[in-house]
Amino acid sequence: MSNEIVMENAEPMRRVIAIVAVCLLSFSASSQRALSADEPVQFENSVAKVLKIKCGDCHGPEDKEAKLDLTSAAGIVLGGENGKVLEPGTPNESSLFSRVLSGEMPPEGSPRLTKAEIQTIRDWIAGGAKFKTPPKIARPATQHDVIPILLLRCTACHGTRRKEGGLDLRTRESILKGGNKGPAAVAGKPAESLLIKRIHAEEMPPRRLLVSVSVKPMTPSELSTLERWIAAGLPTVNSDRHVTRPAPADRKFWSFQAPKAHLVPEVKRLVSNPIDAFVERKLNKNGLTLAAKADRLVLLRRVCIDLTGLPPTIKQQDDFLADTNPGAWKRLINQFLDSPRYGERWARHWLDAAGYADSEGAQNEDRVRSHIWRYRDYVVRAFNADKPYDRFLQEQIAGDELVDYENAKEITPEIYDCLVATGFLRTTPDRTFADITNFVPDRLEVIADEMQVFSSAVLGLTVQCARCHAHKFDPISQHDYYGLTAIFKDALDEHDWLKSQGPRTLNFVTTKERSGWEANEESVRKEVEALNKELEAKPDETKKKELEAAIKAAEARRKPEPRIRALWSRGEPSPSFLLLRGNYLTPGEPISPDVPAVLSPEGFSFQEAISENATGLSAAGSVSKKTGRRLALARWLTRPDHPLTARVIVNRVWKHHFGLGIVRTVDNFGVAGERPTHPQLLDWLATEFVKNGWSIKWLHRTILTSEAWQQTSRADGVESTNDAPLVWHMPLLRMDAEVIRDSLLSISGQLDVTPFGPPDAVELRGDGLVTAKRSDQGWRRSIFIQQRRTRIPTLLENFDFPQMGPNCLQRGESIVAPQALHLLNNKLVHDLAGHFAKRVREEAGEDSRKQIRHAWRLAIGQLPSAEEELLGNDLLAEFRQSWIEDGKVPEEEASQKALWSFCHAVMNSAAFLYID
Amino acid sequence: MPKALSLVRAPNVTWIRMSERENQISRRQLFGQVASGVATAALAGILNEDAFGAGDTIATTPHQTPKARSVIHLFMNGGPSQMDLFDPKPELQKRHGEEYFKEIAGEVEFPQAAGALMRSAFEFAQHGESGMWVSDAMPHLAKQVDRLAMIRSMQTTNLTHEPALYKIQTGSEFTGRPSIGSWVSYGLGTENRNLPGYVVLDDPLGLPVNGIDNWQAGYLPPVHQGTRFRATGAPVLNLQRDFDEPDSVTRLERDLIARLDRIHKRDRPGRPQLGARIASYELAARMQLAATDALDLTQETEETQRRYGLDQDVTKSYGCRCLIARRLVERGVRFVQLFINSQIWDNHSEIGTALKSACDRTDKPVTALLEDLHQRGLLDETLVVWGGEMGRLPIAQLTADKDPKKAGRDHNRNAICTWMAGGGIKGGVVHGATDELGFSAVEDVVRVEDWHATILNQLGLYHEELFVERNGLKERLTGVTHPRIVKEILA
Repeated sequence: MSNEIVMENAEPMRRVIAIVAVCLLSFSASSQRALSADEPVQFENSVAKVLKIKCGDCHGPEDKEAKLDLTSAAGIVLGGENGKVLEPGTPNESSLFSRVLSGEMPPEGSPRLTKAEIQTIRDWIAGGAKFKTPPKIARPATQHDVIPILLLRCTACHGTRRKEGGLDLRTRESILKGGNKGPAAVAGKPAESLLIKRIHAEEMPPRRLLVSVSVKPMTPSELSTLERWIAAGLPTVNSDRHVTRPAPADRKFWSFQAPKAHLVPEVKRLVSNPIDAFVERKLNKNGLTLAAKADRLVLLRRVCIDLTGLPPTIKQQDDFLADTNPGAWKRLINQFLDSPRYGERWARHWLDAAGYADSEGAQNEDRVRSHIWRYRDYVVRAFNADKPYDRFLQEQIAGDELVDYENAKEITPEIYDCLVATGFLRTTPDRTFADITNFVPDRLEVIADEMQVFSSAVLGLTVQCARCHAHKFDPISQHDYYGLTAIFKDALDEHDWLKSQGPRTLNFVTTKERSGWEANEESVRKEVEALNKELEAKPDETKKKELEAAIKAAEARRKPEPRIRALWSRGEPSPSFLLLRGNYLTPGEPISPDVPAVLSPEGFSFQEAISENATGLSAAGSVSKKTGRRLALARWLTRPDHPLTARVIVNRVWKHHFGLGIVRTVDNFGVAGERPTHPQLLDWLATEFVKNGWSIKWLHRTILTSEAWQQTSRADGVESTNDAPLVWHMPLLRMDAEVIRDSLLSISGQLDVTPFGPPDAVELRGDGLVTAKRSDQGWRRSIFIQQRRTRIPTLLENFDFPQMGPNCLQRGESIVAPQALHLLNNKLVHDLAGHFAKRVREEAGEDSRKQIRHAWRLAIGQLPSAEEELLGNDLLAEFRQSWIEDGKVPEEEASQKALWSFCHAVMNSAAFLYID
Repeated sequence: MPKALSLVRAPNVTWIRMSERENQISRRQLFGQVASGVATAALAGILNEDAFGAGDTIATTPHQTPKARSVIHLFMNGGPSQMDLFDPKPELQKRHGEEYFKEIAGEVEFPQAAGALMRSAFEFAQHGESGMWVSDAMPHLAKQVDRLAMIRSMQTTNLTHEPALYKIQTGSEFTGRPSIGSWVSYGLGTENRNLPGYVVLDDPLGLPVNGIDNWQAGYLPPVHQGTRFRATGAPVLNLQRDFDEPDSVTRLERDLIARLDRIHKRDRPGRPQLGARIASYELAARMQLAATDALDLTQETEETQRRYGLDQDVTKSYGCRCLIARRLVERGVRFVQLFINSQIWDNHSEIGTALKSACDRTDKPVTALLEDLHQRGLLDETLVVWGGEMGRLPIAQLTADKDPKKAGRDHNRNAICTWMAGGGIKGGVVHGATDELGFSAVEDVVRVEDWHATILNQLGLYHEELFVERNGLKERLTGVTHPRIVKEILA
C-alpha cells in the first residue's frame, strides 16, 4: 500500500500530469474559483474547506467513518480502511473524486456537493494533488508497495517464466542484480536506475506487446511509488501477519464445532434403523408418527429412479414382486448400487456442485473445453467404485501432490485418476484463452469463481463476500479469504497464468492408453510411408489415385493426442496480498496461505501442516517444486473432526433422497443459513459416515433402508405440506431434467448405454432448438451429451437444467408452459413416442387392453387403475376413428397411429413425470 | 428472509392494499426460496399457475407507483460513437492530428493501432425546441429530440465487449447472472398471462456477442429468461406441432392427457403442483394463439408499415422488430429487447461509412417507433431506452497500412451516450458532460448500476428490494453497489 503523496523530485512525471491538467483545467474554466490564474492550486486553498464542511462530519478527526479522515492533509494521503482515496494526477482513479462524482458520497440525506465543488476536487487531483505544507507521513515505500506493481506491469516478461534481457523483477535482490544490461535499480538514485529510465522513455512495457501479454501500462502514481522506493534505497520490512482469531463466541456456532457422536434415542417402539429413531422422536414430540409404508412397486420405481435415474424395467418389476424372501429390499438396493447406471446418476449431483461444463463460457465464442470430459468420467467411476469421500476430495483438491507423476515409470490408473480429479478446480467460466480477456482482473474473477465452487460444494459456506469485506454474518475475514486463495496460488496465480485453452493440459494419461495411441500413430505413419514409397515409383493414374485414397484413409485413422485438463503445482507462487475492497489495484498487507481460522481447532497451525505435507512429494533429485499447500488443505478438510466436511455431504445426499436437506440451505451452513431440523440426526449421520470409511454407498443403504424413506407420499386429508421437514411422509418429486430425457429414451428402447468418452455433439437448429446427435444405437444418457454453456439441449433446459454460474447446489423446479409445449409439440419427443408404441405392440401384441397395461408398466412402473385402463381404451378407439376419418393412412395403420398417440399422452402425463 | 421482505417500502411509495402486498410478499419470498435452495415442489407449484411466471391472477404489484408499464430496450450492441452522434466536440475538431495516446494509454484496447486525435466526420446541428445537438448521421431521430433525455455521461467498468455486455445486461462482468429483463419479469410478472414477460427480438442475421447469454435468467427461475420471438415461422420454440397429424387427433390427445392428469391429481390431495401442471398445459394452448397473433404484421396498415421502413431493404429487418416491439408492449409484455447482429456499431475502422450505415438501418425505424407509441398514447407508459455497452475514443484507430481514410475508433469505457424516452422521462434534456475531447465523463457520471436503478425505478421497482437470496447473499441486479437514480431526467 503506497501511502505517500507524489514526491517533488519525480520531474518527468510532472510533465505528463501537467498536460492532463492543462487540458482538464481549461475545461473547468466555467467553474467558480476564487484563485487567480497564476496561484498554484493547493490543498489548503482549494479543497480543504469543502471537504471539511461536506465530509468532515463522518470523516473527521473524531468520527473516522471507514477509518478515513478527510479534514487533514495527512488523513487524505493516508486513506482509510479501504485503501487510498487519492491518486495524484488521475481523478477517475481517486475514490475521493469518483465516489463524489457518482453521487455515492455523501450518502443519501446529507448535503450534496455542488458542481463547482466537485470540479474543485477534480482540478486539485488532476493538478497533482499539491499541498502548501506536504504532510509528513512516517512510513516510506517498502517492497510490499512495489512488488504488487511489478507483478502487475512487468513480471509477465521479467519474472517466473520469462526473463527477457536476463532480468527478473520479482524481488529486491533480483532487481539489484539486474539483467544483461546491468542492475535495474541504483539504490537512492531513481533517475539513474535503468528500470525507471526505461519506463519514462516509454520503452517499457513495450506498447506493441501489451495486448499479447495482457498487461496495461504503469500509471503515473505507480511509477512514483517505484521511484520513491528506489530513492529511499529499496527498503524492505518483514511484516508479521496479524491474524484476527475469531472470538470464542463465534466458534460456538453449531456448524463451527466438530460433530458429536450422539446416542440413538429411545423411542416407544422398536426400530431397527437409527434414522427412524431420530425422526420418530421428533414426530412424537409433534404428535405425529411415520406414515405407512408405500406399495412395493411404488418403492421400486422410487428407488430405481433415485439411484439409477431410470424407470424400472418390466423384468425388474417381476423379479422384485417374486422375491418374497427376507432381505429383498436390501438386495434390491445393492443391485441398483452395483449397476453402472448408479454412477451416471449420482455423478450428476456432484457435477452440479462442481459447476461442470464442456465449454469455457464467459466469452462470445464459448469455446469447447476439450479433455475435461475425463473429469466427468472420473466422477462417474468414483461413485460406482464407492471411492471413500475423503479420498475423493483429496484427489480433487491436491491429486497432483498425492502422486509423483513426473517421475513415475508407469502412469497407473491411480496416478491418472489423481491428475484427472483436479479438473474439479478447472470448471468455472473462463475467458482467459484470449489475450484481450486475459488481464489480471479477468483471472481474479476465475479464481473467485473457483473459490466459490470449492467453498459452497465442500464447506457449505459462503466465503465470496469476504473477497471485498469481512463477511457480514459469518466470522470469515478478508484475511481468511485471501489466505484461502493463497493456498491455491501454486496453481491459480493471477501473475503466472495458464490460458484456459491449450496450456492447461498434461499428457499423463495411463501408460496403457498412451502406448495404444502411440502404436496407432506409428502404424499410420508406417503405412503412409510405405504408400508414399509406392507413389514415388511413379505408378499409372489409376494406381496413383488408389494410393492417394489409401493415404487419405490411413491419415484419417490418426487420433488427437490424449491429454488431461488438470490443475497442478507449478512451483514458485507469487506472493499474496489482501486486496482492499477486492480491488486488484489496491493491494494491502501480504498474506500467507491459511485456512479460515474459525474452522480450525485451537492451536492448529496451517503453516506447520504445509511443512509436514511439503516433504517427499517428489522423488529425490526431482526438479518438481510442489508446495504441499493444497495437500495440507485436503488433509485438513478430511480430518474426522472437521466441523463441516462430513456434515455438508451427508446433508446433500439426504437432500437428494428426500427432496429437502436436514439443513435446508444445502449451500450455507453459516449464520445466515437455516439450522438443521434434526441436528442430532445430522451429527449421527456425519460421524457414522466417517466411521464407515466415508462410504457414500453406506450412506445410501442406511437412508434407503429406513422406514422414513419408505413412507408413502400420499398425504391424504392434508391441505399443506409445509411441515415436510418433520419427515412424516415422502414428498412427491418431479423427475430431474436428465431423468426425463433418459427415461423417455429408455422406455422407447432408444437409450444407448455406452458410457464414458468424449461427449456427444449437439445440433443447433436455426430457431435455436438444441438437441443431441443420435449414435448408431440410439441416444446416450444426458450426462454424456456435450454441455456447452450456450448450447444446452432445449429439453434439459426447459426442465431446469442449471446454468453454472459458477455452480449449482440446488436446482429449481418450475412448472411452466414451455415444458408442456416441448413434450407436446417437439418432433423428437413425438418420434420417441412412435418407438415406444412400436415396442409396446411388439411386446404386448395387438390386444388394446394389453397394450395399455404394458405401456403403463414400462413408463409408470405399475398397472393402470381400472379407470385409467378404461379411459385409455376408449381413447384408443377414438384416435383410431379420427385417423380413419382423416383418410390419409390405410385402415390397418390407423390402430398403430392410435397407439402412438396414446403413448405420446403417457409421456406427457403427470403419472410419468412425478415420482410417488 | 421474511423480515427483509416485509420492508417493501421506498421513498415515493404509494402503499398498496394490504392483501395485495401480502400476496406479493409471499410470492417473492417463495421465489426467493426457490432460488436460494429452500424450494419444495409444492411451493413452486402454487406460484406458477400461468404460462409465464406471474403466479397471481394479476401481474405482481410493484414497490411503488410505476411511471412505465413496459420497457423497449433498443440495444445498440457494439458501442456507438458518442462524439460522432450526440456529443459534439469542437475542441476535438481543432486538435485533430495531435498525439494523445500517452494520456489515455491504459484505456486503449489495441495500443499498437492507436493513432492521433481524430475529428468527427459528421456535421452537428441543434434541433427541436430544446436545441439538442444531433449529428447528420441521424436525420430522423433529430426531429424527435424533444422527446429524449440524452445522457452523455454514462461509464462502464470494462472496455472489452464480452465483459461490458455482461455488465450492462446483468450488472456483473461475468456470465451466470440474470439479465435486467429477467429481473423485471421476476419483479413484475407479465400483464398478459399468455405471453412471456421478457421477449427478445434478435436479428435474423445472427446473434449478438455473448449470444443467448445476453438474456439469461441466471439463478432466477428459468421462466424469466428472455424468450426469443422470431419474425417468421413458429415464433417460439415448440410453439406449434412439429409433426403431422389430424387436428382432431391432437385435440383428443390433449383431452386424454387432461383426464389422466385429473385422475392422478384426485388421487393425490394436498399436492398443489399437480394443479399447476394441469394449468400449464391449458396455458400452453392459449399461448399458441396469443404469440402468433402478436407477430402478425399483416394486421398493420400499409402506412404504418411504410413508416417503419418495411418497404425498404435497408430498414425492413429492424423496422419489423420495432413494429413487433410495439405490438408486444400493447399486449402487456414487460420488457422487449431488440438486438442487432454481431457488432454494427463497433466501428474500429472506416467509421465514416460504417457508422452511417448502422444509422441508416436503424434511424428511421427507431424514430417511427417513438412517433407511433406517442400517437397511440403508449409512450407515456412505455420506457424506450437506446444505447450500447460502451463508447468510443477520441483518438483514431489505424489499420495496418496506417491509411487515415480507413481509421476508426477504439473502445471507451469512460464515456457513453445513451438516451431514454417516454415512461416518465423528461424530454429535451441533456444530462452530464464529457471533457472537451469526449474521452471521459466529467459531470454527473451515470454508472451502469445507476442506469439500471433508473430503469427499475420507472417501472415502480426499487432496486434495493428486488433481490433473491442465494448462498446466503442477497443477490440484486445492482449488486452491493449504492446506485443513484438519475432524478434529473425524470419528468
